[in-house]
Amino acid sequence: MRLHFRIQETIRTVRIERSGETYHATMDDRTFSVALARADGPRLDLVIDGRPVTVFVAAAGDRRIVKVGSADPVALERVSGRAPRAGAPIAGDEVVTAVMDGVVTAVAAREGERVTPGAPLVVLEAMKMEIRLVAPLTGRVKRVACAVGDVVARGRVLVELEPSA
Amino acid sequence: MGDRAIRRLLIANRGEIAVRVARACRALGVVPVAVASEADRGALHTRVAAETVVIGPAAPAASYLNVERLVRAAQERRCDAIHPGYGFLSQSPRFAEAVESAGLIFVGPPAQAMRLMGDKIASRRAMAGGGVPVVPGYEGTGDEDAETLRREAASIGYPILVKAAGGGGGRGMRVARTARELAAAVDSARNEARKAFGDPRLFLEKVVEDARHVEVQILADRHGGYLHLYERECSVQRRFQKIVEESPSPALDAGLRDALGAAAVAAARACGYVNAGTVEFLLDRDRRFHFLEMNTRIQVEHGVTEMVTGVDIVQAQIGIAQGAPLPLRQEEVRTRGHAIECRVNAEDPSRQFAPSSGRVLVVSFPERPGVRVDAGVESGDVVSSHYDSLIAKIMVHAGDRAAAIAGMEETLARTAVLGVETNLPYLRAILAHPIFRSGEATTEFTDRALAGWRSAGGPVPDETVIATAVAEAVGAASFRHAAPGVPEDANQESDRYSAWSRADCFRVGAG
Repeated sequence: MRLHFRIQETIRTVRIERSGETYHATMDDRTFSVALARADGPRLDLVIDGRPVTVFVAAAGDRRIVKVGSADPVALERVSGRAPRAGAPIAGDEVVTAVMDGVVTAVAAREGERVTPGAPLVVLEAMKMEIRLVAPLTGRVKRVACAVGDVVARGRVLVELEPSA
Repeated sequence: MGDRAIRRLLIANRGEIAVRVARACRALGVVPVAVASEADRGALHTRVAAETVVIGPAAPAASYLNVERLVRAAQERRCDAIHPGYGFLSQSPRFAEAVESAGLIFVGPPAQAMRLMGDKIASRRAMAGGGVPVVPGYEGTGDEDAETLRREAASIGYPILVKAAGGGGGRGMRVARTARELAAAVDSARNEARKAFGDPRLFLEKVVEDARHVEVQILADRHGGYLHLYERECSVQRRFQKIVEESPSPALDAGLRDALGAAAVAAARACGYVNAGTVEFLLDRDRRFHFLEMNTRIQVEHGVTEMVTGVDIVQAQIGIAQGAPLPLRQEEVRTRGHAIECRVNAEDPSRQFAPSSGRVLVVSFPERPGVRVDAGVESGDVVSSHYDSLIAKIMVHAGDRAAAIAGMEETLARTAVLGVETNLPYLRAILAHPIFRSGEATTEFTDRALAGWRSAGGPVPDETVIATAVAEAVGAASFRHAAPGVPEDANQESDRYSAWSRADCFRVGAG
């Protein structure tokens, strides 16, 4: 998974891979190892390269306001789907998978429907937490591979998208 | 004004103070009834109340300042009393009279005490007559021409503050540093006074340089009982607005503290005061104190006094209004440790502290012993541009001043308010400043020491970008707790977007 953020006038790209409970996040050839200790609403307790840090994050459209540790909050803009200069869609973004074990509680995706970044696709629920999965790119819903009530395991494909050229 | 029990109390206010009063009601078994403008429907202060009356449009004149509507709301909901909070109608003698002539109890002082203290010229005279020292100055009829004022100013000595008789709380004031500046200051102050208070009368006060603003909390009952709850230090101000307050004041020794307390009680007696009030003093470089004004209401910063004395001032107000005697005697008032309050305002330090309105996406305060937060909003609430920008007061109580400062720094660092801009970075700069830490801050501290302060706008650390990316990957911004008791959506076809709209209530955006 590759994520792009606009910070002032620059674009920063982070590539994230997950192995077990640890996320490997690479930016500018430097890889951080990040463990998720706890998630509670907008608050995440992370361990970044061995250092525990509390993060608060809020989203308003593409805008992300983030407070990390004792630092003052900063605003970043999520640039969805692809980096503005990149030609092709990001590999992997065409497939939306379950990010945790859970139950599908709502499906908004309809096959053939056009979507834009942020369009709601599926709601997953587990342990009284809801997570909504949204389209990471502009395109069309190619296939809906889940239904309300499905118990799904992490990693299972829920929706396939077809990016527009 | 016979003794009557208060069973249902209308809170004629909004925001954190309305929440605070409702909490006191609950503690006393009194039913709190909220009022809300149309812009405040569903606001936190209505959620903590037992019932809410929507009283009118957003504009304060049509809602929170609408005397007749508020009194009618109290009658309709069978309330026994009205608590005015601070601001709005809290210092309006006309409101107090309207409440009482409707057969309701006004939780506050008698109208005539408010009227006297609201007239800054009359109150200066009354205080001087009662033996309370006042700031050197000149007060005549209030309508003097520029020539008379220039003559008086010259004999007092510059710099001079031109103040509105109907003003107070830092409003309706102009500074003239020289005789040359006086005419313009008088014109401008008179204009503002006429517009803001409907009263063009002015008086002059000498600017007390390097002054400290120290105020004393008093309580008075209907049986002639008076006591004070010691002082609050409120010198840290920005544009005459207090932002950090503490108790006790680092500027006082035991002798001065007792003298100030006695002067405050004398001031309250001099105007036949009843209920909670605050007498404000300026302490000059030579440690002489001068009466400034009396605030005839609960103050924003009452909480620091509650923390060090253990007296719940809002509960005491309600008790006194019911005719109860003071809950303790002067010699039983003991202070313990040190308390500091920081006012968190929704304003943008990078745009000259302009108010910042909109939806607060995340509000989170650390919970620890000794920390009290009186907030007017929670995550997802809207900060309206119609009202003042105070969204929360963070208070920390510790064994001594150094520990209270350390606790406050830690608490501010761990406080997250996302979605609107706040003065939190500025508050942290104040707490970190050596002048504040030394306990030497005067009313000129922020102007002198923090004039060049800018919120840090440096490069965003890699760690922040990484944390944001991981938050996206785990979908943190869209996590929410499923609401208990809300049935799972059975009918997806007819209610296809309900889950989204519910999630949208929390404004937790894209995943």
